[in-house]
Amino acid sequence: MKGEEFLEKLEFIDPELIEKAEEKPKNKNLKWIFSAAAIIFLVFMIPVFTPEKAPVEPGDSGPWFTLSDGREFFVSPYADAISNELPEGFEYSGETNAGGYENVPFYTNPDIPEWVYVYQTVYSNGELDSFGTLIPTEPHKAYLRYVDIRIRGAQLVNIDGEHFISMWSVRPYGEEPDVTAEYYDYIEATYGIRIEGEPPEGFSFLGKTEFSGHDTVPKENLHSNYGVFDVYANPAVPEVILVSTQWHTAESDKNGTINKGFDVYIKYDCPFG
Amino acid sequence: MEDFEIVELFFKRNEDAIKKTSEKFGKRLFSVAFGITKNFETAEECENDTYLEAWNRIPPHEPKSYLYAFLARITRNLSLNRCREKETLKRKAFICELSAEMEECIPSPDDMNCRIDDIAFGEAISAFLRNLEKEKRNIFIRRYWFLDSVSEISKRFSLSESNVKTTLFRLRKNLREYLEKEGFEI
Repeated sequence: MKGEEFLEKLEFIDPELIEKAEEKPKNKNLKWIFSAAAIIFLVFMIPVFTPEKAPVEPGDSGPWFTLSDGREFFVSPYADAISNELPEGFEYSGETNAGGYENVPFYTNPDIPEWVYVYQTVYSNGELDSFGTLIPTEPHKAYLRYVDIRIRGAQLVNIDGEHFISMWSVRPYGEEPDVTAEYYDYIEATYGIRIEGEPPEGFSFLGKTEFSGHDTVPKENLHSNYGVFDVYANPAVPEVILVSTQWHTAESDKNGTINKGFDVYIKYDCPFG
Repeated sequence: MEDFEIVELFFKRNEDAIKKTSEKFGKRLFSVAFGITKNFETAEECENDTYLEAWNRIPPHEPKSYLYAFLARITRNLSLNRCREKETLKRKAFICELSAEMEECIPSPDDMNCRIDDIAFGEAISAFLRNLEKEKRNIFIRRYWFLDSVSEISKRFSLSESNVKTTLFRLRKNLREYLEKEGFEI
């Protein structure tokens, strides 16, 4: 039997094992995910706890909505998305169905088209406990930030007015991919998604980023919407930058390891550039 | 709708079976196909061909308790075949890479004759996998059943790529030893 045949015959593995391997393992190091899940949970639970308003049609009652111009928005994954005051520059723009409610007011700002605030019932002030979990409160109304799905979750860095997106968050598929699959495959084959250890030859320190804020599209040079990092670049490879990172891996030896390296970011045509 | 009810629709030759299958499993099947082909259109074709293939296979097959795994197996096969057929998918090299890794597991790689049947082979590999820690087992399955890249696996399990490669290397070695010990001639 050749290797290819062996690979093919692995289809006969116990179906139960295959199904279990499809389950997402618990993430080991991303604290903010708990905040995101908590926010989404709060929005999803609204129709359950507040029966005075009817939820919209099934399938349209989640933490997302589509504006009349076709743009789709999904609730922000960050705790600072909840605000008791309407952020400056946002104005009433009509009503929509969002977060399980019909006809809730929403607010837009022409200078920040990637955000929409919806005034709706929430179950937290956006404050986190020491584990990064949202502290629940009594249900109350607040302004909740929704983000255009084209950039929601995108880890971006602005270098000289051009946007780079992390290979972790770029989408090379779907009806409106961020980059082509060919481009993605080429970068992945050449650099991978994350590099452990030292940067490859030719890459040198470019500068340290400043944080532009969650869910933002960084407008200024050397700004990131994900945090403060060291950036490395190679003039011979203008389509790629490397952004410092570290991650924790836990082994069965219990001690675990802190790994240091770089996330690979690629140039892309940001729709809000 | 429960799986057994969908299978009953197939048995009744009711075309709603396709619709219900697509509604319940479509996204997951597409995901399997896309993971292998890395091509949106081809993945869609594989997903659609899976429904046709399921229509042809049920009956006589009656996968009432493992419908998803039955469908995913078809999708995997179709996707692998597409990768072999279409040079442009650039996935052929990846399949070759995986095949080469698999040869490390084969006790007698020069022997072209398969001396055990598919079911016995599946049971042997499943028994090996069941004895592994959950994470190692899933890393193996993600790599060689879902054909995930090393970087995808490292992201999924929050492990470094070198850690994933080392784990896979050890698993292949262990599988080979297991097959030899159990007396399998492949």
